[in-house]
Amino acid sequence: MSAARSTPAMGQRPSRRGLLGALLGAVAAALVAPRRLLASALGKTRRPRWGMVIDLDKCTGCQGCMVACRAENNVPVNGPDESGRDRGIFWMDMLTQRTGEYPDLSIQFVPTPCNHCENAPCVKVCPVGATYLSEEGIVAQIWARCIGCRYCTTACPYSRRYFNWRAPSWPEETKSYLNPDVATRPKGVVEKCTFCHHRLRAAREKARAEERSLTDADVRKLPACAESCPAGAILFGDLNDPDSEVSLLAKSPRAFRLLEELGTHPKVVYLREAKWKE
Amino acid sequence: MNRRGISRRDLLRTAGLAAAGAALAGCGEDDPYALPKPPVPGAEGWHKGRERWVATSCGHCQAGCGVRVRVVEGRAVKIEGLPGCPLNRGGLGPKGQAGLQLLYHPDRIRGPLRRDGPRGSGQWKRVPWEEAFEEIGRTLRELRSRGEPQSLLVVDGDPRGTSAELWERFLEAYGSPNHANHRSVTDGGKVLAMAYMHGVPELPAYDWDSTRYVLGFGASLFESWCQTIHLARASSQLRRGMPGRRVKFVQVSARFSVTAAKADEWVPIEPATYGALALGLAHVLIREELHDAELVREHTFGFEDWKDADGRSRRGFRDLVTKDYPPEKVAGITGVRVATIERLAREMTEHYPAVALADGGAAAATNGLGTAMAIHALNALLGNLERPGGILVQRSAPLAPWPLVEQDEAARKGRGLPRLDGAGGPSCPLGQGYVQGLPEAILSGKPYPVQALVLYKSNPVFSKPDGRRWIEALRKVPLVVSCSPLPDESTFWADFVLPESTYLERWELVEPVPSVGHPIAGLRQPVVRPLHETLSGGDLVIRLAKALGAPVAGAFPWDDLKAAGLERLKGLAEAKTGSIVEPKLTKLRDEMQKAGGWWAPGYSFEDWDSAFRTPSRKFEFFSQAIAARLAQVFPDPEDLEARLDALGVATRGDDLCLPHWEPPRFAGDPAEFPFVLVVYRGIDHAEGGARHLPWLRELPAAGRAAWKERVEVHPADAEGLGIADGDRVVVESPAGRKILTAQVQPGTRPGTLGIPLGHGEWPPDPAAQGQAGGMALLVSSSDPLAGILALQGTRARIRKDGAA
Repeated sequence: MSAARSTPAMGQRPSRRGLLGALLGAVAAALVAPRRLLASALGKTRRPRWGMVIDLDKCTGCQGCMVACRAENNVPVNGPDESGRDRGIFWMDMLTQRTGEYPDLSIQFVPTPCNHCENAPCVKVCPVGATYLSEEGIVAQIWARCIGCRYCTTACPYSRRYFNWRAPSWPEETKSYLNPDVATRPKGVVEKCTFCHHRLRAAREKARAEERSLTDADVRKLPACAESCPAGAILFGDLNDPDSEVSLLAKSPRAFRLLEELGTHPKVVYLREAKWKE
Repeated sequence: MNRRGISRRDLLRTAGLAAAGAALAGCGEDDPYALPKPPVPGAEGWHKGRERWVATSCGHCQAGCGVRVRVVEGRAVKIEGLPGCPLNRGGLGPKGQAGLQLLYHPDRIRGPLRRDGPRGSGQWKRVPWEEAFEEIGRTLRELRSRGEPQSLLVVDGDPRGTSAELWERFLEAYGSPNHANHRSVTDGGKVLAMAYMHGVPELPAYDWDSTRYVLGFGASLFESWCQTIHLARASSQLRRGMPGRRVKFVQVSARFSVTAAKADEWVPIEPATYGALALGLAHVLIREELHDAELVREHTFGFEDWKDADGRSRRGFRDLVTKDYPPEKVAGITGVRVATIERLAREMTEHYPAVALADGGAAAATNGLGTAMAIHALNALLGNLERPGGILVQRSAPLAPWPLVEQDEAARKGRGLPRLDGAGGPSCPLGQGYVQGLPEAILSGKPYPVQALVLYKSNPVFSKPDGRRWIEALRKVPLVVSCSPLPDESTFWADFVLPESTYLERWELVEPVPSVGHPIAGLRQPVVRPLHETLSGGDLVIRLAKALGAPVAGAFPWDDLKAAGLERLKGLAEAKTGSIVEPKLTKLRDEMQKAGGWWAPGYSFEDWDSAFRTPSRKFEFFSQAIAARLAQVFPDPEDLEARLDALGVATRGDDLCLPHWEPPRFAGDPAEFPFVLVVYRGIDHAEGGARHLPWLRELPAAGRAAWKERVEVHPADAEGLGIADGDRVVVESPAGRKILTAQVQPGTRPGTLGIPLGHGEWPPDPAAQGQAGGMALLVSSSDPLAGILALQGTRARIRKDGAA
């Protein structure tokens, strides 16, 4: 996949780095090219580590991403009862942190999908292997294998896993809008954000049909939340690729991850909100 | 695997068709995989597994974001933003996303209904469209032949767009002046400020790309601004799009809203004092000579004192702010410190171009017009008018006009009568009508009785104050027709329901609410076959006109809305500019269908000759139009004086024509009702259109209170009253009493209660009797001259349910 990316991305880079960079780039390209050929000849390609960057400074708290997620992933309506008990299912949720007293107040809006931790506590506790870290870094869940023990919902320090307390239901007519690409989950299983892996699969198939590899441009707005975000605050991509937009943004001085100190190594990177300074 | 499956299926299909012969071609009734063809011209027949994307224009609010809808086997399964649309550039907010729940809503009305029991009994009978139109048409024809065409009233919730133009056309031909809109309850103040100071009765447009400083006066940019989604994109650009530079956004508001939280600085203020703050800022700008003297000198009128045609000396804006609004006085009114006022004024001039934004809500008070004008006046002082980064006048798309309506004598006579919503008359001399005054007009029968009422995109019993009066008024009108696609509190009292189709099922040309300045014309097209027996608003008007026969039918020479729209597209075909240059009409339409619309980027800045359409052809600090209207309605100055006294207006003389501020009035005795109600529009429901959509009710920020009607209380106030978060509380105002769920929130200004509009029971409960929704607590008071509803105008008290 890096081969396909090289053309447009490298066309831009030298100009930014200046003359010296251009020279170095040319040398590097000459060195890299045979190695890449070698890697593909051996059938060994670097696997992506999918990750997401959410810029809290761009986010306006509109919650469009949350509705987009529910529409895309067939998350049923919670209804007054479940909402009242705080049992609502939101693969993409909104943390609202209020601090201060009138008039010195702040509210932080934090859109929170699954962090797809590299060292995922939920994976470790699953007794049946229903949840696992995929080869590309997505914390996946096999609905049919889940026995509903809820160890994972307890283990997740981010509360990003949801148990189906009741059978999902839709009024007959609204079944029309169900996304045919995503299975619905039965009562008694845990469900969670998948980074829209069905979209990833479709994008990959499309690229393959066009006889090219997946590029950063193919995926940067791939999940439903990222695609809908009017502020362009949510981006998706390969954290293993040093040139991907998410990798570059993850190096920002504003970057942080939720509860990093727990050693979970989340792959959702946040960019801190800033305020205007003179 | 898939590919093989499809090709095998295709093979079977082809074989089947060949066997059946030409008679079945393209129809495929015997084909087990064939499903009904969607009503999109040029769409191929589609079969199982087939999906496509349809570009169209969102209709959930008036912003007109471009969307593309994923349709799988004829079912709409996802809505995304349209990357090419200059407004949202591929993004989409929660409302746009939730369109699917509107389309497939189980409570939708399936077809035209006629009342089949007493009014309000909820008993209906399905009737064919023809019958409904014929019966309504008969009544309307009778009214007309009796010489009372003016007694038809259309309350239209959409002030712009094709449907509104068709209703206006209908009334023009029929002979009624009564096309009332909701503006006095929504963004009326802002529109009036533009009308009187710019001479353009429409919301302003903005050039966000070059703006360097934003001062919002209660501007709900990220919640219920008319272009919220466009603003989300713009703000992201202003904050993070220019390396090393960030645009400062300061929000002034009473309540700590989402917008306030996202702003760089929040300035809390007393409710309904925004105008005073704006004038205080103007005072500092002028005193320290920070204002754009060149623009003010060349392109404005009424800044300095001036002499009128009679040689009388008239007051200018400079004199007014210099004498009347020193920061010390303003600080006392607003609660904003003098140092803050002075700093904000300086900051704005240090970061050119800065813009001052008014919000419909900020100007919604008994001092509304003066407030809206005061805020708008800052833009002239800051020198941003018609300049990059500033306030623009939205250019409209060059759509071809429809032929003029030929009016007969009856129509001319009816149209010449005063309007029921008071526009231009003594009850609302400076407004464009006040919809909240209609119940009084209907119940009093003055200036003349209402015999027929059409509610289009309007549910006044819920979304306007004084729902009970509205019910009384509806019950008094002999014929009430509602066009609501869903049952609601007003439809309940109708005689006929002509259900409108949703925006995902119809053809329509869309002119979005002002945004970026350059022309945009969206094209809405059906993404699925209409699910029920419904008609688009435009088709309703056309069919009704045809049922009426001559002369009204003559004004509608088209078969349907699509044909009417196509005629207007001729203008775009001839324009030879914009995103699609195509002289052939049908081809242009096809291209627009693919692209979702037509737009022509680029704005001619500093086009001073055509920018202002005021009497002076300049920006008017002193509105000569206001002076003229007052002189016209009250030819005798003593009449005006008496009227102002009667209305309790404190301002006199030239100040009425200038941006000014006077103390707001609140209904309710402070001793009895110690709290001020601060109602607001959130991103979920605005003021009434979306509470039936579970995805919007359950926006995660709502948390446990998602399905509840709520009231926000400051922690100290709550503690004093023994109220805890989540408690059931009784809120009472002079207008009504409601049981709500308390949310103890530090962002609520002490001494105020925050109430989100648009929340309420679903399905609508007829037993609520006009007491549903937050508006039920508001007293219907208005800016006495301009008719702007005072959302900030009611006091209330609160106690824990069960407490004495």
